Amino acid sequence: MELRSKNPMISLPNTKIDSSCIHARQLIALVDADKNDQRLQFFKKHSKECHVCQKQLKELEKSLLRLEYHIPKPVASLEMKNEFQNELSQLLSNVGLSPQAKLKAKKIKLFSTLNDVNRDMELVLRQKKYVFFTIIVLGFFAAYLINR
Amino acid sequence: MNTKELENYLKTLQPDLYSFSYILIPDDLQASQLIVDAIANVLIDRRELIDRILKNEKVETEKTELNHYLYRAIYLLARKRFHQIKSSMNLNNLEAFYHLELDERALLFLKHKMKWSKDQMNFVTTLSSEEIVSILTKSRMNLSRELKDEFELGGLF
Repeated sequence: MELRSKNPMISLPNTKIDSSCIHARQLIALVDADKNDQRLQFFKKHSKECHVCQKQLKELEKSLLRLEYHIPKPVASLEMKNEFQNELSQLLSNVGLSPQAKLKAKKIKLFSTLNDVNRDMELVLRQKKYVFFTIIVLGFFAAYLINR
Repeated sequence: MNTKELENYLKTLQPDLYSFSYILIPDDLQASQLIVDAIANVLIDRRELIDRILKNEKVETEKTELNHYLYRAIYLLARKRFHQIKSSMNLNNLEAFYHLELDERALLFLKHKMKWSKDQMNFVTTLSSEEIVSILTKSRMNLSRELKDEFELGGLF
């Protein structure tokens, strides 16, 4: 009795399905439908024009609200929160990257550095003013190889 | 994200994780221990995910994944533990909600308090979509029966 007096939904009317609209009967099946469910999309559109379905929808929403009122969401005491934070700190004190992940990270860093050097050299060699210089260097290199 | 930031992120999850743990095992200490054990479990079993979180800066997807794994670990641990300690707990003294089965409580909480989708509930409980709808419908019926409603929910549920 005490619960009921606190409950705003207690004076709910009888929530039997009104069968004067065929879609109102399907309403209950939509409670657990996902937001993008086509049936739900259709019902939303339909209920704008159908007062029977509008009424049923309101009844259903009220019933669900009443049920939700009785589903608890407990809160931890301050003592429990502190205890949890201590345990969490202890638990995470030894957590870092695993040896495999550290090695992988080093490899990625090395490859990324080599990649940067390669890209810079490519950019330099593509510039016109360096073409002549590159040909000379290559020429000297070829002469050296021939004379060897 | 470094270890300290991971710790802070886990602290922000604590209130919802505690609520979920408590509705599964309605005992302060057990619920709190359940969260710690679930975190320890995920740190070991999901090492690759933790590495990804600690290595990268943008880890929103990984954080969501971690959150879901924690709920799953809590649910699976609670299922084992609840059956062991059920007989020593006097659930009749608690609210009507706690008279429901563990699966029913878990799904009602995730659906109505956390507003989770069927896919998310499926990930946590490993139940199929059809099983989830069936248990949710049954649990609403059972809860309204437990509440001894004056109004008829039978027409709806």
